[in-house]
Amino acid sequence: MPESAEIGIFLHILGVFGLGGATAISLVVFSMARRAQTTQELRHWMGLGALLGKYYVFPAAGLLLLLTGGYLVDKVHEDWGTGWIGISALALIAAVAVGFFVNTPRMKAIGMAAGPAPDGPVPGNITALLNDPVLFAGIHGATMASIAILWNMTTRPGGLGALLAIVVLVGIGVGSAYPAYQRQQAQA
Amino acid sequence: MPDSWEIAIFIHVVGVFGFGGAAITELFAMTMARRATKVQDVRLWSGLGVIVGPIFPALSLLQLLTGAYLVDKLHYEFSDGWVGWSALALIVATIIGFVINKQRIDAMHAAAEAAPDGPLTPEMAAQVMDPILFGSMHALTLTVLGIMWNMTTKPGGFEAFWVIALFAVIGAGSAYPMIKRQQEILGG
Repeated sequence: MPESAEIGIFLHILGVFGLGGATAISLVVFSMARRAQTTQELRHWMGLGALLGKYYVFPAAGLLLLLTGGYLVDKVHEDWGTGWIGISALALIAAVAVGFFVNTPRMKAIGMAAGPAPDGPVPGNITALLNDPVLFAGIHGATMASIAILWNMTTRPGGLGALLAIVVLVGIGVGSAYPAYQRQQAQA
Repeated sequence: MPDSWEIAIFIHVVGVFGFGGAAITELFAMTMARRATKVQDVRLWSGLGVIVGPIFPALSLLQLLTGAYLVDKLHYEFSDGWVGWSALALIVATIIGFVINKQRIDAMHAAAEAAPDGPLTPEMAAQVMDPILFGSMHALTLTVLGIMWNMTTKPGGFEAFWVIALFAVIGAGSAYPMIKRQQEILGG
């Protein structure tokens, strides 16, 4: 029989698998929604994205990772004060919070606007919502935060290295919104 | 600086994250396709399935290469049950995915592309409700979970084999109700 710590690791990796799924869906939905030519198409993509919010997929995956991670910290005699653990846990909580308070309301707003919009080309007000650089930065930043946490979990750097990994990768994710930001400024 | 094996584990776990992304996206795409009532909806969701298809062999190769590197670096053996059975299962799953899933999703998309807009024909409904595709997708997703169980609990060869077999059979068996439904559709 496997030990409880091994089952904890399995569930933790299962959380990584689930988080990967949810991240991929959110990236696909956001990317395809921005490419949608018609409101009918847009409604389909937003319907898929709405499932993530409806079932609280990101908070659930985050909670699973934190609970199993917390159990493992205790079981294998690690310490929350260890840089790669504490900083990664904080980054995960922050990423889930960004998803919940920044990304989800904006995606819901797009879905709500697409619902009653007439069939045909995507109206300008919805295009503006889709090109929101804050949403772009929020989705890409949270995705890169997940990758940075994976780096910290597997290479176990010191506090400074762990913080640097998160800052650099989140910075790249957020920075990828810069062209969208410039485009928005040019249009305004 | 992290050791080379730590970087390999990071890439290996990023592969798990990617597998979660690809598998869950494909499951969602096909679930949405099954709920579709119009040809244009099937076109959209099967199109997503077509995009995701080629990602699986690439991820399997990544997992096998990084896994083999880790086996060598950490002084494991391919003859260790959990290593050998899991590697074999991943190779078999990749082949099944290519031979069954990719071909059927590609055929579904080609049929949807060729068909005029409008309600689904019984032939296309049967193609979307294909129990072999459904069973294969679920079996392969659960096989990946079985491999993850083996990777984290490192059981002996006997248990490693049975875990994968059990997970795969549960996944394939989940298609049983659909066999009946497809027969009803074809029976009119």
